[in-house]
Amino acid sequence: MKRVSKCIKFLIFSITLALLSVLFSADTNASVNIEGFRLTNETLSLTHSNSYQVYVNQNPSVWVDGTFTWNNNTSDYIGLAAFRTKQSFPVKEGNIYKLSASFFFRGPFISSAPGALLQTVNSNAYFKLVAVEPVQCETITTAPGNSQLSNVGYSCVYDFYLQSKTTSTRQILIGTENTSVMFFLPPLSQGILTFSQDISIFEPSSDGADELNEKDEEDRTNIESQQSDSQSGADDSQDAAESTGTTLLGAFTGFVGALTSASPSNCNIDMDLGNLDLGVVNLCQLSLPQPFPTIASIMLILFCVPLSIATARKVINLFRSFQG
Amino acid sequence: MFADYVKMGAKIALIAVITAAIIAIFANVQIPNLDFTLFTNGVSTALAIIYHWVPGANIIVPLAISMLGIQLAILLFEYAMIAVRWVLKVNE
Repeated sequence: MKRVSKCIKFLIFSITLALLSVLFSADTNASVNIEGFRLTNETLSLTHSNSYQVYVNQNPSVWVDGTFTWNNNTSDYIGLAAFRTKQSFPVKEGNIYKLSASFFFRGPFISSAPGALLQTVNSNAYFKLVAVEPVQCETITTAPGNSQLSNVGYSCVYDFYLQSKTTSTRQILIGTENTSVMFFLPPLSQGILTFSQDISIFEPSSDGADELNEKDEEDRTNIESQQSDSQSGADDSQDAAESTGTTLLGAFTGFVGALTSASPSNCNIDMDLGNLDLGVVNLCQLSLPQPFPTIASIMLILFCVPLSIATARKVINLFRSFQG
Repeated sequence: MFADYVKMGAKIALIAVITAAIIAIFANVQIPNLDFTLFTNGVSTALAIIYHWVPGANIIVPLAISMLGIQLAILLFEYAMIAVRWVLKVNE
């Protein structure tokens, strides 16, 4: 009787898991979302007088262009830290996606400053592309000249192709919280900061795609050969299967991905719920009464405490069952 | 004695077949590619809002998800142990 009960529990558990997987499976036709973009206040607080504007143009492009005045007499650098964008967009087989991101500073600088004019605290993580592979990334640093007005910056272009033959939504994350850029500037200087980012999607029939195809044909062939090696002969069945839909396993993966892909966001959150698009909401402008975050935090902790106890007891019971 | 081993072998084979069937179902059964953007984006957006407004949520929520994952792993392990005990019981 006990075994039957366990079997029924397992059955219910499996059905629930499958239902959840179906509910949260990856969609196929999501629009491009720009989830968050931030130029931290560190820059703005250091600049005593500034005019700054953030343009979010038609998706999927975003750029920032600002003019600042550097009035600080004591310090000779400003920090521009932790800009980050997260975008999700549908990818299709055969399309070529070109992601470019650049960051430029134009203005006077101290040429004798050690470490040049532009520094990244973590240069490896400066442009981080997550969940899209393979990546061809080229970082270009324009060397500073001796003139009083020069362009310095980083430019990074990603070309990537779709490895999987499924059509799904991918997310990319550019920049990290730990990323910061520092400019060494003379006091009382003025300049222009520009950050731009763009995703170009080339259909297979377009000229741009043909050009890129010819240029990177060898790389693409390598990718496809690696893919066919990894699939080890199961292509035919998979092709037939993927044309009709997704598997339960894929749906479960999508559900887990939806949970794990959520990350601490910046002020701007794109309230795009698919059928219901509420636009970008700046959470920093919405004031929440102070007790509510505290109460919510306490409730979360109160939820976690019994969960932790239950997990610990289960682990202990598991060990006891071995001893007994 | 030999009959016991035969019984155990048969049970192991049965379990292997059932396990393979479950894996095959999860890996091959197709479900239609419906648009569930409301749910996927909803979960992500809700979590993003919680992370933004609730202090410490970005630590606690992944912790809770991890614990639920641990409980799931323990559950699966318990079922595996039930199967092992059943295999070792040769008088059934």
